[in-house]
Amino acid sequence: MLIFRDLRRAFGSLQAVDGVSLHVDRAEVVGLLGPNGAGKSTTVAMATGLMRPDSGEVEIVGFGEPMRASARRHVGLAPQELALYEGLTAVETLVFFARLYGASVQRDAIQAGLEEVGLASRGKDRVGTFSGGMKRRLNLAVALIHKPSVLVLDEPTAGVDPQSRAHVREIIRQRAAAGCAVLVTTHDMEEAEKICDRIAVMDQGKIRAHGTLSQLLTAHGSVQGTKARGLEEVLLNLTGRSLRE
Amino acid sequence: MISQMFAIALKDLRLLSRDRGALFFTIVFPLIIAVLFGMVFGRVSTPGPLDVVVVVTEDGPLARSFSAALQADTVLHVQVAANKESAVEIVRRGKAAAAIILPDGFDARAEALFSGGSMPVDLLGDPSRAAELGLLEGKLMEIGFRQFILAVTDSERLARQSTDINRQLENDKTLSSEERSAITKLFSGAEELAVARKADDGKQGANGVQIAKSGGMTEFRPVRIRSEMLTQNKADPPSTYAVTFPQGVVWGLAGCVMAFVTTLASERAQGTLARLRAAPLSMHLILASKGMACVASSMIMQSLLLALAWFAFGVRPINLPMLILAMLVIAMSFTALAMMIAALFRTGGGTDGAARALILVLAIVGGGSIPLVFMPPILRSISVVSPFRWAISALEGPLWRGGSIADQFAAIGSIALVGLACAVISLGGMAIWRRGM
Repeated sequence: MLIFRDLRRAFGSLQAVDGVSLHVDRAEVVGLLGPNGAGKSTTVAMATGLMRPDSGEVEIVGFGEPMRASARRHVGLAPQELALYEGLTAVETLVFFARLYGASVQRDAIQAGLEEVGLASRGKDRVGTFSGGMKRRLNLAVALIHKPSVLVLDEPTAGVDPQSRAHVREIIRQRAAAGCAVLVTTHDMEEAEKICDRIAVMDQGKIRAHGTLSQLLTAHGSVQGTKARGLEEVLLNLTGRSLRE
Repeated sequence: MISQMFAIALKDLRLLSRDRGALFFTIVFPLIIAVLFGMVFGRVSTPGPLDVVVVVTEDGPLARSFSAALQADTVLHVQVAANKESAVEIVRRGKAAAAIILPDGFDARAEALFSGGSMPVDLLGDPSRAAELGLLEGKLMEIGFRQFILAVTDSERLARQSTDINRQLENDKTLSSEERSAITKLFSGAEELAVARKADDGKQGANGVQIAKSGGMTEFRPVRIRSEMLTQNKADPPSTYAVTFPQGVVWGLAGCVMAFVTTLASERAQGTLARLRAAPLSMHLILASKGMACVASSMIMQSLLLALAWFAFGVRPINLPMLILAMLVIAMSFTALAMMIAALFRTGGGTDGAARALILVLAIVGGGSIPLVFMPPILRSISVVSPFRWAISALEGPLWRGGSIADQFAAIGSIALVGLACAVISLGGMAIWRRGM
C-alpha cells in the first residue's frame, strides 16, 4: 500500500535519508526504529508529502505519489508534536479536519471519532483544557477521522500514561485489522514488539535491518555469543552504543 | 476547494475571536485610540445647534428681520457671511450644514404676502447632512409663519398693503362693481382686525405674555424655498473624530496583520501548519484561506469602528459606496502586507518579532500616532513609505475630505498598488521557499 523506492534526501552536506526502500502492506503495522537523527522523521515527511525526495520515489498504491493532493486524501498523519488548536473544542477540531479531507462532518461520524479515542464526554471542551494523554488521543483521532488507507504515526504514544498508551496501541491494531497500512516510528521498544508486524531499524539514513521481531532477534540478536533478550539489544547491536547528537 | 478555504478561514476567525489578546489589539485598542485622541485633539462633540450661514444679498427691513429671527433661534448656530460665494465655501468645507441666502428682491416679495407673494429663500446644502437639511426647511417655514404673523399684526404694513390692493382693485377692469365692493369690504374688515389685534397685543405684552397663533394655515406657504445641494470640498474635518477614527483603523489593521502573522508563525511552531500541508491542500490554498480570514477580520474591524464613528460620534461618510470600496482594498492590501512579512521572516519567533517591529514603525510613521494633518512637513514626507498613510488617505476621501471621484480613486489606487507590490514580493518568497521543500 505504501512503497518507498531508493529514497534519498540531503540537507546540505548531511545525507539524511540514503537509499531507503521499504513497503507497508494492507492490514500491516511496520515499525521504523532508530536513534535520534537516523532519518525517521525525514522519511515520514516524504511519506506524507511534506517533503520532496531528492531522488527515489514514494507511492501510495493506486493513488500516486503523496506530493499530489489527491493521494494525500488517503493518508492520515499523527505528527510527533501535538498539532492541535488549543482554542478549538474537540468536536470543532474533528469537524475542521474532516472538512479539509472532504470526510463526513455528520454529528454521528464526529461522535464516533471521539468515542474511538475515548473522548466522547469531552467533545465540547477546548483542547487547551486537555491533559497530555487526551491531546495525544485527539491527535490520533484527527489522523483517523477521514478513514485513511495509509496511516503514518510519528511516536504516537510519546509522553503519555500507561492507560492512554494501551488505548492508542489498541486503536492502531484495530485499524490495521480493518485493512489500513500503518507506518509507525517509535523509541518505545516494548511498543514496537507489541504492535508491529515487521520492524525496520534505521541509522544514518539507511535501513540497517528489517523483518519480523523473531527474524531480527535471530539475525542480529547475538553479540559475542550472548543472545539478546529483546528488541532494544538488537537495536543497540545494529546502531552502536555511542551517544547521538 | 471552496469549502476547504471557508473551513480554514472560519477556523482562524473562531480562534481570533477566542484570543483575548488579539481581540484587544484588533478592536479595543483601536477604539481607545480613536476616542481618546478625538477627545484630546478637540472638544467632545455633543449634539448642539445646527450650523448655518446666512447671507442677505439686498438690504431691507424684512430681510434684516428674517435674518435676525434666524440668529435668535436657539436651534440654529448662525454665521453671517458677506456674500454668497463665501457662504458656499463655508458649506463646502463642512463648517456649516447649509447656506441660507435671502436673495435680491426679498423685501419686495415679502411685502406682497397678501397678494400671492412669498418670502424667497435659497438653501444651499451639504448633501451628507440631508436629515439636518429637512429639519432646517421646517425651521425656515416656522420662521416664515412668524414673519407672516408679524406682517398681519403690523397695522402700518397692513395699511400700506391695503392701499396697494385698493389701487390694484381700482385699476382691475375685469372685476364687476359688486365684486370690487365685496373685496374692499373684506380688506376693511382685515384692517379693523389688525387694529384690534394691535391693541390686544399691547395689553398682553405688558403682562409679559407672548402670543403664537399659527394654526389653520397649513396650505399657505409664506416661504418659497429653493434647495440646491453643493459638491463638497472639505479641506477641514467636520470633527476631530473624523481624523482619529481612521487613525484607530490604522491600529486595527496593525492588529489584524500581527494576528495573521502570529497565527501563521504559531502554526509553524505547533506543527499544525505541517498538518494542514499533509491534508489534500496546496500551500497556496492554505495561504489564500488564511488571507481570506485576514481580509474578513480587517473588514469587520473597519466596519465596527467606522459605524461607531458614524452613529456615536456623527462622522457620516460623504460617499458610502466609495468608503466600502476603500475598506475592501485596504483589507486586501494589508493582507498582502501580512503575507509578505510571513514569507520574508520564516522562523516562528523571528516572524512575530519582525512583524511587530515593522508594523509598529510603519503605523507610527504613517499617521497612527500623529494625525497627518498635524504632522511636521519632514515627517509627512517620510510617511509616504508607509502603507498606513495611504490607507488613511483612502479612507479620509470618502469619509469627510471629499474631492473629486478621480482623487478618491487615486488614493484607493495607491493603497492597491502597495498591496500589489507586497503580494508580488510574498509570492517570490513563497517560490523560494517551495524550491527548498
